[in-house]
Formats: sequence, C-alpha cells, structure tokens
Amino acid sequence: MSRLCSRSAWLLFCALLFGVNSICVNSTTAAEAPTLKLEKGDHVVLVGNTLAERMQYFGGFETLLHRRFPELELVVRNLGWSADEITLRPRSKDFRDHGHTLADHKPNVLLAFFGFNESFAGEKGLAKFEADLDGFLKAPQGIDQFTSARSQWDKTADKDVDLAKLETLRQIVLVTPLAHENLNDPSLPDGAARNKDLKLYAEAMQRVGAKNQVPVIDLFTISQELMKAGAEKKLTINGVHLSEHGDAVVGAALDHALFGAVPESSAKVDLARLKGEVNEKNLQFFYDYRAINGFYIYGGRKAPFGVVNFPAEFAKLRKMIAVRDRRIWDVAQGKEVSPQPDDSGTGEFTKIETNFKKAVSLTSPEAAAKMFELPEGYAVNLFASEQDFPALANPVQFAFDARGRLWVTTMESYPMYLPGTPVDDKILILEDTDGDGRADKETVFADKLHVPTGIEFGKGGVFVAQQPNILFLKDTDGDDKADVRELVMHGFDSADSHHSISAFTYDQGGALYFEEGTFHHTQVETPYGPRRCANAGVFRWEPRTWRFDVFVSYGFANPWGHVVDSWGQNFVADASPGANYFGTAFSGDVDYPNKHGNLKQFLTKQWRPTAGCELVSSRNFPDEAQGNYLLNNCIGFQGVLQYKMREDASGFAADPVDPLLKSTDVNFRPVDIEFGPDGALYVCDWFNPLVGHMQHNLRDPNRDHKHGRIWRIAYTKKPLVQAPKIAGEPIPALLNLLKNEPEERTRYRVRTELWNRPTQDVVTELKSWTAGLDAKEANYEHHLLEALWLHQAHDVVDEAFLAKMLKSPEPKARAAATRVLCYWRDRVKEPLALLQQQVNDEHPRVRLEAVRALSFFDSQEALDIVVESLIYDQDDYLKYTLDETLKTLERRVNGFTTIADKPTEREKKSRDAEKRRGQPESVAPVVPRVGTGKAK
Amino acid sequence: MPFRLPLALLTVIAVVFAAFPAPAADAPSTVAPLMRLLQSGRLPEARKGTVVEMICSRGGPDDLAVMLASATSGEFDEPLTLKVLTLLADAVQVRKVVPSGDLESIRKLMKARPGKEGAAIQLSAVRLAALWKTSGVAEELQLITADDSATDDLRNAAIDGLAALGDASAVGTLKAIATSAKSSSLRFRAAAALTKLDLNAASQTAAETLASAAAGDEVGPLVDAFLVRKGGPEQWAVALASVKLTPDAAKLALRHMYSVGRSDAALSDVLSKAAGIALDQKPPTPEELRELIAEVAAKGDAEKGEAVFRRSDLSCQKCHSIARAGGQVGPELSAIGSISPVDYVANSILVPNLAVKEQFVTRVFATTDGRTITGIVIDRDDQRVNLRDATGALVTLPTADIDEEEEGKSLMPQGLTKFLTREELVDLIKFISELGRPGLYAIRSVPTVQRWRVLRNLPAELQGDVPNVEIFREFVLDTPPETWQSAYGTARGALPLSELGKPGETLFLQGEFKVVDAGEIYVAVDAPKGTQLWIDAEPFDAGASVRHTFTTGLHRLTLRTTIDANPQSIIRVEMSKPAGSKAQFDVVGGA
Repeated sequence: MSRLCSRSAWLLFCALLFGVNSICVNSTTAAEAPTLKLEKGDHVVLVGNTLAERMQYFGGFETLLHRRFPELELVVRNLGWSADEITLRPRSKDFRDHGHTLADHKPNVLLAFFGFNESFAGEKGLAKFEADLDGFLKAPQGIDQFTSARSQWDKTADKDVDLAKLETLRQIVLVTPLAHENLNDPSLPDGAARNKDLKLYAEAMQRVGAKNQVPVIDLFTISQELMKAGAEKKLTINGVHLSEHGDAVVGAALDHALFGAVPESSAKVDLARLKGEVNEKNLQFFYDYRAINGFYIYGGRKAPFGVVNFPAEFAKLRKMIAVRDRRIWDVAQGKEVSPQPDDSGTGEFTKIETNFKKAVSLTSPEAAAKMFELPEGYAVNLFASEQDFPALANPVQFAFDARGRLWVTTMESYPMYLPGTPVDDKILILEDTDGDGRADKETVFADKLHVPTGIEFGKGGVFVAQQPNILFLKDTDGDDKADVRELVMHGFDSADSHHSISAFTYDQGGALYFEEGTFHHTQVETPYGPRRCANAGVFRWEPRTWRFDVFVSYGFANPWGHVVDSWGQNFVADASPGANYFGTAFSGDVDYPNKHGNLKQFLTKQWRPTAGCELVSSRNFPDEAQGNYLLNNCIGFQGVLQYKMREDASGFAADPVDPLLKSTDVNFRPVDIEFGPDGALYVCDWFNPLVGHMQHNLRDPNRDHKHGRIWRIAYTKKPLVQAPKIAGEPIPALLNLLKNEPEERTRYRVRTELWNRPTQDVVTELKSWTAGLDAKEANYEHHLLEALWLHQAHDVVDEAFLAKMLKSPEPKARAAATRVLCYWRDRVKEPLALLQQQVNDEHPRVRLEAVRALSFFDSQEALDIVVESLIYDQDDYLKYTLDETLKTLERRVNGFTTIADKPTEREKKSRDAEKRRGQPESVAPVVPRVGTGKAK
Repeated sequence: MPFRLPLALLTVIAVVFAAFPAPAADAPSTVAPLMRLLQSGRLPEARKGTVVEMICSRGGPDDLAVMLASATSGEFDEPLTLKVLTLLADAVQVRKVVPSGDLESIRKLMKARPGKEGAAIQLSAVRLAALWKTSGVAEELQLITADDSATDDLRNAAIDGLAALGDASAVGTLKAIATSAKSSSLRFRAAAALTKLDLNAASQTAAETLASAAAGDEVGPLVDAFLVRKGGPEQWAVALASVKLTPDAAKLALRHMYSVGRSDAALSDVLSKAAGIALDQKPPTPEELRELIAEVAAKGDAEKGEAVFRRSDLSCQKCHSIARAGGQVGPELSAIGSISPVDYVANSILVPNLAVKEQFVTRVFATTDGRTITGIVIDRDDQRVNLRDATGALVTLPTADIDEEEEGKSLMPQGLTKFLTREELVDLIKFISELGRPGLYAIRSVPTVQRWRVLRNLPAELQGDVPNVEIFREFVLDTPPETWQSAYGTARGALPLSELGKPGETLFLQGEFKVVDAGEIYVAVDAPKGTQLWIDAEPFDAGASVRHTFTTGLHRLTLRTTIDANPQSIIRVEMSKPAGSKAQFDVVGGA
C-alpha cells in the first residue's frame, strides 16, 4: 500500500510529461525502496495477456527499463499472448519445441499480466482464479503445459510433460489488469460493470500475492486514476487495449510503481533513439516467437523439408536478436552504434536445392492471355501485370474502394520472413483512369507488410491481416499513403499461412468476416471477453461495437472463400477439400471447444483446391448467369468454376455448368475474385509455377516472387455497367443507389461509404427515404431491408422497425430480419417471444434462421421454443441446425458449456495413482452455467 | 400479408403445451418438450417419426421405456417400429442408455414376421436383445443359428448375440459352428464372434477356419475381427503359423488386410509367407530414392503404370479417384503430377505416412473393450466420434468407449509395393507423376463417362437377345443399386473390357449424367460392334454419335456389350455440346 503515496508523485511527473494538467497533487518526496531489485544480466520475462503482448509493439515500458538500468544490460523478452489465462494457453502442435517456454528463456524475473480474461467469469470464477494464481506463484513453469480445454477430451493438444523448475528465477511480480476505460462511445461498453469484476480480480491478485510474498502492481487502480486524470486523451483504443499514447503513459506508471522516481542521470539518454532499438529487437523477437508457418517449423509437418532449412534460419535470427540486445545496451549507455545492426557474424542459411525438376517456364502476360478458354460471348483481358507494375508480385487478395479503384495486397515475402531481409509486402491501389479496362496508375498505399492474407475497407481505412494480428491502416492527409498504422486485434494463430485469416468480407449489417483453417488455436481478447477457436472457423467482427465471435466453428481444412448473397445468406468455401457450405445452417452458437457436426455441401465438388468465391450480379453478364456461384480452382483444373444456384427449401443447392474460365497455363493460380464497378469480373492471379506447402521446401528457390496478374472478364454481347459515383456523395444520393443499383457489389461499396457517415445523419435521412419508397415497387421489401441493415451497421436498435420486418410479406426479408434479431437479442425486449413467432413461420428459411438464433440463448424456454419447429416439415438443413442448437442448449441448461469430464478407466487409474503420490488432482474442465432465460 | 400461421393455431399450440406440466426448475431437459409435443396431438402423423427419433436419441431410461412399450405393443407401424429398434440400439451402444423396466418384451419382436420390413424388425430385435444382453433369449438365439431356413444376416446376428451373452455354453456353440457349419459365411462369423469371448480359442479355431477357405469366400469379417482386437493380429499370426494355409486362402486374407489399410507386421509376414509373396521392405534410403527416380525418368512407362494402378489386388481404385471417378477415401489424383515432384510421389507410395494432407490425417482409438479403430475423424461431440475408415465406411465410436487416442498413420498401408516388381513400381510412379501434366494425362475439357456401373450374373430375362423395353425397365433400370458394381474409366476416358470378365460374357454398363439446363448434347460412343445403347429407357443406335435434346435432371446411359476376344477392346463415351446449345450438364463421378 506504500505505493499509493508515490503514485501521486508519479502522476505529477506524468502530467508534466504528457501534458495532463488537472491533477490534484498530494506529493511526497520520501525515497522508497523499489518493489523490484534487478541485477546485472538479468533476464526479465513478461508473460500474460494482450496487455503484455501489446507492450512489445510500442516499447514504452521496456525503453524506460533500459534507460533506468543501462549498466545492468537486461535481456527483456515479452511472451505476452492475446487472451492467455493462467491455466488456458492454447498453442498449435508442438509449440513447446520451438524454444519459447519459460525455462528456455531462463528468467531471473517474471512480470506476469493475468486476470483480465479470467475476470469474465465474475464473482463465481474468483475461487478458481485464486487457486490457479497460487499454483502459478508456487510453480510458474506449470503455465507451459499449453493445455487447451479441448485437450481434456479429444487429446489433440500436447500431452503432459514434466516441466523442470525454473532454477534461475529470483522474483515474480504480478501486474493486475487495467481498468476498463469509458470511451463515451454508445457502441462500446462504458465499463462500469466490468470495473466491478476487474476490481475483484485485482484485489484477489493482491491477496494471493501477499500470501506468497510476491509484489503486486495494482495497475487497475493506477490506470483508473490515469483515465480520470487524462480524460481528454484516451488511453485505449476500445476501452481495454492501450493505444500508443496509453502504452507510454501506463508504461511510465508501471516503471514508477516498480522502481520509484526516475534517477536524474537517466535524463541524458535519447529516448526516441533507445525506443527505436528496443522496437527493432522486439520485432526480430516477434518473428521468432510468433513465427508464421509454425506447423512447418516445429509442428506436425516439420519433416521432411522444414528440418532442413529452419534450424539455420532460427539460429541466425536468435543471434540477430542478441546483436540487437547489445545495441540497446550501447545506446542506453550513451555509446555510439552503427546506423544499421551488423549481422555479419550471425551465421549462414542452409542451401536449399529445388525438388521441382520440371522446366520452369514463366509465361508472359501475352502468352498467358492466349491460354484461356471461355464460354461463347465472354472475353478476358489483362487488367494489370508485373510488366507494367513491377510491384505487383504475388498478389493475393483485393477489394474495390468506393472510387472504383482496386486495392491489391502483394506477398513477395511469402512464405515468410527470411531473417535479415526486411519484409516489404504492399498494398497497391491500381486505377483505370481512362476506362479502357486496363490499369494505368499505381499508388503504393502501404509497404513493409508481412504476408497480408486479407484486406477490407472500414472506418475510413483498411483492415489488413498481419498474422497473428489485424492491422488498421488509414490515410489522413489525402495523399493515398497510409499514415495511421494501428494494430487492432491479436491472437489469430499463425501455424500455417495457407490456413491463416483470409477472405475478408462484409455482410450487409456491417459485420466483417474472415476465416482460418485447422491446426490453428486462436484466441482473441475483446471488451466482451476472450473468444477462442480451435482447428478452424469463420470469425465475425463488428468493428463499430468491437463485438467479435466465432461465426462458424467447424472442422474445415482451410476455408478461403466467403460470399454473402443480396438477402444476407452466407456461403463458405473450404479450399483444400474443395468443399462448399451454406453458412446459415452451421453458424449457430457453440461453446468453445465444441464444434459443429458434419454438414452436407450445397454443391457437388468437381475439383480442388479452391480459393475465393463470388456470386454473379452484373448487368454486363448474361441473364441466365445471374446468381451463379463462381469458384476459383488453382491446381489441375486452373480457372473459374461456375454453378447454377437454386433455392432448396430452407437452403440452397447448386449444379455445375460450363466453367467461366479455364487456363492451360500451369502458372495461372486464381486466388481472389470479385465483380468490379464496371460489372466485369476481376480475377487475382497469384501466378506461380510451384504452390505446394507440403510438396516443396518453403524456401524452394523455384518459388516465384516477382510475378502477378489481375485479369478482367466481361461479356461482349452486353454493355458494361456505368459505375455510379459513390465516394463523397450526399447520404440521400447514396440511399437511392441502394434502391436503384441492381449490382450487389455496387451496393456493397455504397454501404461501406454509408457506414463511415455520422450515425445521426444516416438515421435521420433513412426516415424520410423509407417514407418515400413506393410500396408497390417490386423490390420494396429489399429496400426496407437495406434500411434495417443500415440501422444494424450503425448500431441503432429500432425494435418497431425490426418487428415490422420480421413480418414482411417477403420470406427472404423475414429470414434476414431474423438474423438481425439474433444480433440484437440482448437489446430488444422479448427476443424469445419474437423467435417463437419466427419458429412457427410458414417459410423454412425463416424457421432455419430462428432455430439458428435460438442457439445463442441458454434457457429451458429457448429449448421449449426450438422444438416447436418439429411441427413443420424439415429438410436436411432444418434437421441439422435443430440438432446443433439442441446440443448447445442441452449443454448449457445441464450446466456444462464444455465437455463434462468423464475420465476413462485408464485416466481414473492414473489419477488415483497421482492422488496416492500426493499430487494435486487436475482441475476438471467444467464450467457450470445457470440458465437465466436471457440472451447470452 | 402472405399466409401466416393463424393466431388461433398458435394459441392452440400454446394451450396444448400449457396442458402439460412444465418440468421442474431443477431438471432441465430437451426430452420433456419433445414428449409433450408427441402427446399433444398437434403433431401431424408424418412428423411423428422424427420426434420419436429425437426422443430415442436423447431420452433417459424412462423415456426409452415408453418408446419400447409403444414399439412392442404394436402402437407404432412397422417402419416406425424398425426405426425405434435401430435407435434403441444406438442408445445402448453410443450413449449407454437402456430402457428401464422389463426388457424381455423384445422377445415378441424376435419372432419371424412376414415381409421385408418384418424380417428387418426381427433382425433388429435379435441384435438389440444381444446388445442388451437380455437374459432368457439364449434359447431363441440357439434356435436361429441352427435354422437353415433363416437368412445369413439373421443367423449372424444370433451368433453375435450368443457371443454377447457370453454364458458358459457360448464358446462351445460358436466353436461348433465355426468348424462345422455348411455355410462358409456362418463359419467365419462364428470364428469372428469367438474373438470377443476367448481370443486364444478364437485364434486356433479361426486359423483352421481360414485354412478351409476357398476362392470366392468372403474372409473379410473374420480378418477384421482380429484386426480390431488389441493383440489380435499377433495372436492369430502365431496360430496361423501352426496350420497349413493354401496360398489362395492366405492371399484372400492378405489382400483384405491391405484393402482396409492395415499391414501389421506379424500377420502380414505369416500370410505373405503362405501366399509366397515377399515380406515387407524397409523404406528407401535417400540414395535408393534417387536411383528410383532416375529409373522412373529413364524407363518409366505411364501406360503400363496405369494398368498396375488398376490391378484389383492393389486396391488403388478403392480409395483414389482419377477424373473424379473412383474411391473417395484418399486424395483425388487427376492433378497430382502437376503439383507433386516425382520424389514426393515415390515417397507417398513407398512411405505413405511421410506427408498426409490435413483432411486425411487419421486418429487411432483404443477402446475400453480392447478394440483398435483407425479412421479419419469427420466430426465429434461429447457423445460420439464419427470416423471414415479405410473402406470408406462410416464408423461411430462412443466417447465413453474410448480409452486412448493418438494421431494415426496414413490410411494407405505401408508395404503395398511388395505386390509389385521393380519394373511395375517404376511404371506406377511414372503414371502417377504424369497425371495432370500437359500431355496425354492433362485434365480434359471434354468429359467422358468415368464411373460405370456394371451388371453381371445376368438374370435369365437378360441372357437372351436384346431386351425389349419392358424387360429393360424391370431388370436393368429398376434393379436395386447393390446389384451393380463400380468400374472406372482410365485417365484418358476408356473402360477396358478385358478387365470386366471373360470373352463371350455379356454385360450391362451404366453411366449417369445430370442435366442442369435443358438442351442438345452429343453422346459419342466408341464400343465394339454389336453394342446397344439406351439413354434412360429409349434405345439408340450405338454405332453413331447420338445428338439429342435432354430435359433437366439425372439421366442414365446404358450399354449392352459382349466382351470380345480382343484384349484391347474398350468402351469410351464422350459427351459434348453442339455449337449454340444451351445445355449445361455434368457427368456423374464418385465411387
């Protein structure tokens, strides 16, 4: 408690440093013994959740640490990991062998940041948390068991191993979670309820710390005061995660809390310079600790190729990190360092011979263009290639902006960072300024990216996949170059870059989706609690509200395609098996680590593997092609497959028709597909002679890193679409585009534009727009639905409007409204009564949506309602989804969200043996829940 | 407003629901609302089966007792009774739930009943009695095993039932059947059932039973019984070493073993020895692999390699498809050569475990009752794991039965290549690595019929001349699917007739295509003289290309041909669209 007084002194310092000017100061000059004593050469290791993880990206705290102790030459390693809990640290297979357990880092001092994710269990979870924390303080090596809850019942994760005591460890310091900051944003929680729980957990940490004589830094109280003091400038980006500014403020607070006032001698150091060195070291460490393609480095597929090249690569990388440690110490000590690190002594790579023995023949764009085959009436042309735009190397994902420009991510650093060669993947803006169907202008929006497997617009910028994170990039001064670069989400596993988050797409209600494949153990920390997914799933994120959930938890191989039809129905394509699924059926809620059962496919597979799907909606394309499902296929059959969609009761079915595009060029690798503003179809060509991840070494010299093409397919017998003006148009004009433009992609871009407009303006304009609609018009109900979706995207709940749409004469609109109801379930008055009405709807798809939505509840009442769907005919999807919803609800009402611990005979025996040896019994992975009748 | 459920109806539903007491707050349940729904009278008759099914698959002992009583009292019609019996079997096997109260009422349903459905009910009841270990049914089971007029399925179920009851007399009865029953199927089944009671006795008895096997006997169930039992293959191997096995019997067993993805060393060795086949070889050294690849490049003959691939003793086609036709257990191979270097292909054949794509990763389960089961997990939940095994069959494993679990090897057995000469291996690797590469084995734009159904052992009505349309409908188009066997076209689209039988034999061959948009399609048939063609029930002249307008939907194309003396004779049916045709179609592939 002695820290309290000094905290005020610190606040003064902080106020001076950061321009906070209204602090009531109660200063004391009493010198204090530091909480933490460090010694020369100490290894200081940070573990814990996103609070710790984000510190490595900004470097505020670590910079101060080196400044304060320049002579101690500290080795600081940040092992923070999104959403980690003391007893739940899911990792991909054999991560333990990668060299980043606590023991591997020989810690002398551990700073442990736990409690945030645990605190979502509330008061009921306190006892378990205290017991876990106590266990951690007594045997900290135990957290390296890397057990996920899933391992308890399907044994997919690592087996228990004997973990050696941490012989070097001298001191643990516990750091409590931050307080939840109120950002005064109506779409974000104000944190009042959360702060009650966070306080409970912070206090519990102090209790357990005191009992074990371990110091505890009460960051909860400290940050709460900082949030009050610096209310003008917020510390967090979403209430729970520090911004760069917040990192500096909280980093200084932590430094002060640990060590007291800053000694005067520290002032001489060039802090910015030092921070630069710290961040460079942390970046290299990040490439090591969070290496992408871990499954090929240490995991299930390290043989036969990874074991050849990676040992030398990581040996070099680790030496490079040591070189950077030295530079940090030199700068901290005021010594001169060379402008660039000298990595000449860090070793060489193993030379990799190709096993690709066929002649590599890289086709020119002209030659490739002649190798396409299209159905009668269609023509393909080159929109852009590496010849005109050399930066267009390995393009992988693209999206059109509201100005009709194509944003492409390139990936020359694929398959991953090579130690010593800085990554430089890019986002290019390609423009066709003269309307001839070919790009003539290129702008590099962002560079220095690393394997950007997904991109989509949002909040006036773009969201980009940067495994294990999502990066937000924005241009604020109009020069089309990103000047804001902010990591916004963490914890997406990076075990296999062919499985990492991809296929970014929005639904009409403003939720952004992306998906990942098997081997991955993802856990994302959100203001609403941690969200986890093991072995593949589709994610759903509302950037405005920061609500993030697993949309589909399913045993995919590696999904790489997702398209939403004009009525809000989802279709998901799994790449490696070439499987295609109707999304509504398997997007009901399941509790981690459960997954949905096997779902039938909506079309008969022809080829594999696929990458990217799209629905035809373009006046340029023939009438009979409208609504067709298009699917890229990259090996064997190389081109765009085409399927005719049909309504099939609650779901859909599709049958193959002539492929839209077929190439005989073996280098042609279509990986993304989207209709452009002119109604033509654009195809992203990764262009590579060699694509396999298992078949060739990841560093095979024959992998191409220089080529890439964008192709454009138009139907020659109909005119192109006249692209309407979207960017910057007034709201009423945009709303009219939603009404008048038949192309779903045009409306998609109009919606994204409208989402960026002020909520009040949009809602006001919508009122007069909907009032002015002609009820007799054919698409009247769809227009109304667009209005409902805009409310959803702006997070404005209009219950009366929803109730009206739930009874729309158009069943597709009722189905879509039922989906909206699902996501408003915690904000409408009687969600179950409304769902009971939808469960008794005459149309099977409405019933399907209702049965799906009921999986998000946890009461007997929801169970009673959902079985009413049995009164009506069931097709395969209704049967499947009812079964899935029942499973989830049964588990919840029976009090188990995870699998009940039913030990096998063998496990019983071994537990008995453990008991006899006097060891603690393992904690049963049972999370009791009580049915409340309320929405989850 | 469109049709909406009238408010009155909703009210009735609500009232009906309200008439039943709500479950106590401390006993939440899914079955209670289902039971109420079933008894509410609101449920259309056609929906009853589904609700009954859901109660059976979720209910506790008392719920199941209600279902059993309804089934045995004749309250349910035969189809529903059958469904309930099947689900009760599932309940005891997977969920370990048995109806409360008296189980002996099942005896009522164990009696012979008329009709197909009746027979199925009897069979299910016998199986259920065995699963429940219902005391007092042993005598009925004994009678069935001895009843020569009973079907093999029923007698097999009775044999399994005796094994399940496991009383003192069972071992003796089963031994007697295993050694002296007339039907080989019964002998094998009894020997297989013995493994559950006494592995030692079973090993010796089964060794003798196998020694009595003749060509054409289905030894699969017997071999499987040992393969799934922990220590089974090893113990049986010892017993087999002590009997005189004919090479044919040993080959039958060996081939079956490999076709289900097993190559257990002890058993494989003893069978290989008896069959006169080389023992398993070690994986190649890098040196040997280099030599092999050089040999493939210098001497490999893809056409000969394809013939090796198609050999039935290797079972390649049981698991792998080419041009979308063939087994669906392992990866489709049409494009394999375009993505995989030759060393990768060679390794994948010689050491299948080296690289396994994510959707083919297997898991091995050891069960509490001593079985070992390997398969690809399709899905799993708290109660069961669904697996696809090496034969493509779906296996459901109760979670409660799983003792241990670990990642398994490839479903493709190591050591298949011991059935090959060096030259054959070289040709096979060549063939596989050419698939999908530009040239003869590139992906084709014009589809051919690849998955054929073959009708053999023709009934008398089809033995004579070309059948008339009535005979054709009755004996060809309406023949149940199980009477047809699959055969697959070559990578280039031909079906070699010599693979299908002896010269002079008449066959019916059938392919399917699905028309998505109606329109004109060319069907070009390349076949020996005298072949007849039908598309659906309409006969065509097979000598020329057929140009015909097809309606949307599934169509069947049937050929009647006689295998001639020319070993090169083939059937090839190519389908394409005349210029301007609006037709959209897809030739049906699969297993």
